[in-house]
Amino acid sequence: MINSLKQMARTPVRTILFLILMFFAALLLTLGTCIWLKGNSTMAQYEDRFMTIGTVRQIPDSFQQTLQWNAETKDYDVRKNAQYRSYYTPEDMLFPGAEYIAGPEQRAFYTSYGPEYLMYNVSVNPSALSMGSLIAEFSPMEDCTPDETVKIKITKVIGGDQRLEGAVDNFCDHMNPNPKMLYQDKTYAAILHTYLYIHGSMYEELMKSKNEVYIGLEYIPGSLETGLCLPDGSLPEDTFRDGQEIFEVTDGFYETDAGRRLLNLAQSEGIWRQCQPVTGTNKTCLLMPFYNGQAYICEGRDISEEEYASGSKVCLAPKTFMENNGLSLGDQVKVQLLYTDTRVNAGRRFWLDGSIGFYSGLVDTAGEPLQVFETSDYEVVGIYDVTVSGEDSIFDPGADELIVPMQSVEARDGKNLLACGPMTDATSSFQIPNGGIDEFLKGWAEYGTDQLELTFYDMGYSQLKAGIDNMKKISLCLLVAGLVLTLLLLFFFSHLFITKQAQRTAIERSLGMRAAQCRWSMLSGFALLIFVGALIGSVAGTRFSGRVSVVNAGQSYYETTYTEGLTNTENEIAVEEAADTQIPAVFSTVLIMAAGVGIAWGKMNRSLKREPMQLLSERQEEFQV
Amino acid sequence: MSKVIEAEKVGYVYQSKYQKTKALNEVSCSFEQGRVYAITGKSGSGKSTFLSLLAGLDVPTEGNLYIDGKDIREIDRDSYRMNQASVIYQAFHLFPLLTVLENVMFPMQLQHVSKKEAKERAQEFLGKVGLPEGLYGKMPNMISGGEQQRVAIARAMASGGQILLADEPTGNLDSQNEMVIVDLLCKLAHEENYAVIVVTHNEKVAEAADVVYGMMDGVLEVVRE
Repeated sequence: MINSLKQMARTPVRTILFLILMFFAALLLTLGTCIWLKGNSTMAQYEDRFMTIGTVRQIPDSFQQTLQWNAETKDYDVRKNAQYRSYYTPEDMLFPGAEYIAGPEQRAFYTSYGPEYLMYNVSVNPSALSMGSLIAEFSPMEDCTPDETVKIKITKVIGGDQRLEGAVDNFCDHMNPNPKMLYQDKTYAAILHTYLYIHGSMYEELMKSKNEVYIGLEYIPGSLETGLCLPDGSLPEDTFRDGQEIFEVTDGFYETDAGRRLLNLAQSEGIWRQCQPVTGTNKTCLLMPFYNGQAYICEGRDISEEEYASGSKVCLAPKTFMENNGLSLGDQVKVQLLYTDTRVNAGRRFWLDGSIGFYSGLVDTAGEPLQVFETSDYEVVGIYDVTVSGEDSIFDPGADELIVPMQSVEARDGKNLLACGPMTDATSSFQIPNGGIDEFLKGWAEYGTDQLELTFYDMGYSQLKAGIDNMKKISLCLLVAGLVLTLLLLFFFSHLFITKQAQRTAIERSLGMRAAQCRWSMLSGFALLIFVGALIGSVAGTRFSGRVSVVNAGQSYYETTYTEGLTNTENEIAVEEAADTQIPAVFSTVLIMAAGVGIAWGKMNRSLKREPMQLLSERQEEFQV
Repeated sequence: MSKVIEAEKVGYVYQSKYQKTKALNEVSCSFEQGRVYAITGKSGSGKSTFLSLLAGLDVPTEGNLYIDGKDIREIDRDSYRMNQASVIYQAFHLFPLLTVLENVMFPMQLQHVSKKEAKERAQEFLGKVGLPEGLYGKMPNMISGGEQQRVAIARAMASGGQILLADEPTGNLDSQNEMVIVDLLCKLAHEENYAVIVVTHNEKVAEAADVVYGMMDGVLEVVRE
């Protein structure tokens, strides 16, 4: 080996050139391998933290125009109502090759009646008058036709906030093009909803004042019809549909159908302030507030997959609800489901600012008050908090909203259905594997329907993956270049160091060296050179790869750390690359060594197969020439 | 004098993919220590082939070749070349990237002689072939052809064997160096008891030999004994 090295050292240009080129080949090979591995491990590291979900919205088949009288403009308003021939269901989204991790699901939210709990809207303003809806007897302050805002006196509250009894307020039979005359000396009963601002002569009088004035709301009469609907969106038969809304109270009025209906409706009036929404889902991430980080678990844990699958009576409860009611993790929350809504998400009825969008007609088709249809105790396994952005979003969670496994609601097919509708972005979603959007859409184009519009959210996974894929392409080029260069170098220099050294081999053989000794003599120096070049190049490649980022600089990725008790109000994922490893350096060095020794071994064997005399004679002839 | 090599109806056929060529045909002869043998003949007559068989670089395809009474097919030919027989070539065939001294030390290193001893003995052999000490550290391409051949002879001596096989050892030398080498070979045979077998078509070399064989078309004949 010493003689071999000595001879190499005495051809310094060739040896150094080989070393340098070997260094670069190993550098390229290692760099390519490092970047490739780093890209893969970075993706693998974050694969679980990224989630790709899709939301679904059914596009209306048509819009139906209806006319509604507007007492303020004295004209009909044109209202457009979306029409659907039928509602698509999540089952319609199951097609061959569709790979769902969760869902698709269309969520309902249920309203739970909980008089024992302090609800958010009450906690925000305990003494606020509940003016949104009222069932009351009233008289106009003077004889009038309520085709504009008129003054009335609420003489008796039948259902709703009793503190309003005796109050003078505004009224208009706003949507009736032919309102009937109201008489001061008569008493009327109606469902009263606050709906619009005052208008007409009352408004003009107010405007005459140069001072800042308060423009109040007016009550308008509501229908006595049941608020229930059928799952297909149609309305059940009801004698009070499109019927009279203002009734004169006479003796025996409450014995009439209308009177009884009013009394029944009155039983449920005002219960809003004692209700909270309960949303059933199959995975927390399918709820957009959790997905986008607006809601996050601040204590406890997420509902597990097993609990979701088995329909365990566990829930995630909002922090404010828990605090308002002195509850803590592990406590039970009594849930009494009163009615169901599949049209909107809870955030559109139970607003985060404490206001409530109420329903009308809490009676069944027989006119009887709606009853709680399911009662359960749910254990609070996780407490979540909500970041209120100040911007109204269709995805906002509801105030006091409990999140429960969909399977835990036995009557999940929709009992006491007060509102139903098609799948919407806020109520329908599914999860697919990260990076699977293109493939999903390909399948969807073949089997899906244009009537369902899909929107995907992947927290920037596609961008991250695209960036890493680009780097992987570059790394592949480096890897291939490194491999090709390595092979070319090994073939070329093994030709120089071995094939061209056949004379040396022949001399060694003629001096009595055994084939194995010749092999060692020739290969040892060559192998050492390869090893040194490859090792230095590999180490340099590893070091250099540490400076190459596989992640796009300045790119933001959204956080999903609502799980496992993590609190993170910064909803960005700080993508850190996987740590550099020495494995590629070892891999490259071993690979180059193996290839080099293999190639040299082959060439050496070819030299050894030839008889030394023959080789030396050839050289002699060449010499003579 | 003992016979170190004995050939008995030795024949050799080169077999390529397309043809067979009989290079040697029933060659019988013997070689003793202390004598110089010259094998003459035209190019292609088979003399170099015969020399390669004598060097143990190949084995006869016909007949028998005995080394110290043992069939060459049965002995360790690598060991034979390392310890008993050395070859000197027309083109010297020194290791171009080893110094003169290192070239001579090389066979001894193969025999695991210590570096110090190898160096001393190499210097001794180089002294015997008359190479000036100043050339010991030179590379082979920095010295003349005659000097290179002397180094080759010193390397052959360094192996410790008593058989020197020379293939046209003066072929690349001028007449002055030619005589130096011939004298050196004769001296090694007569004073150091080497069996020197020289393949040559140089008449002067042949004249200096104790026994001259002629080779024609693979057949060996005694020209002068």
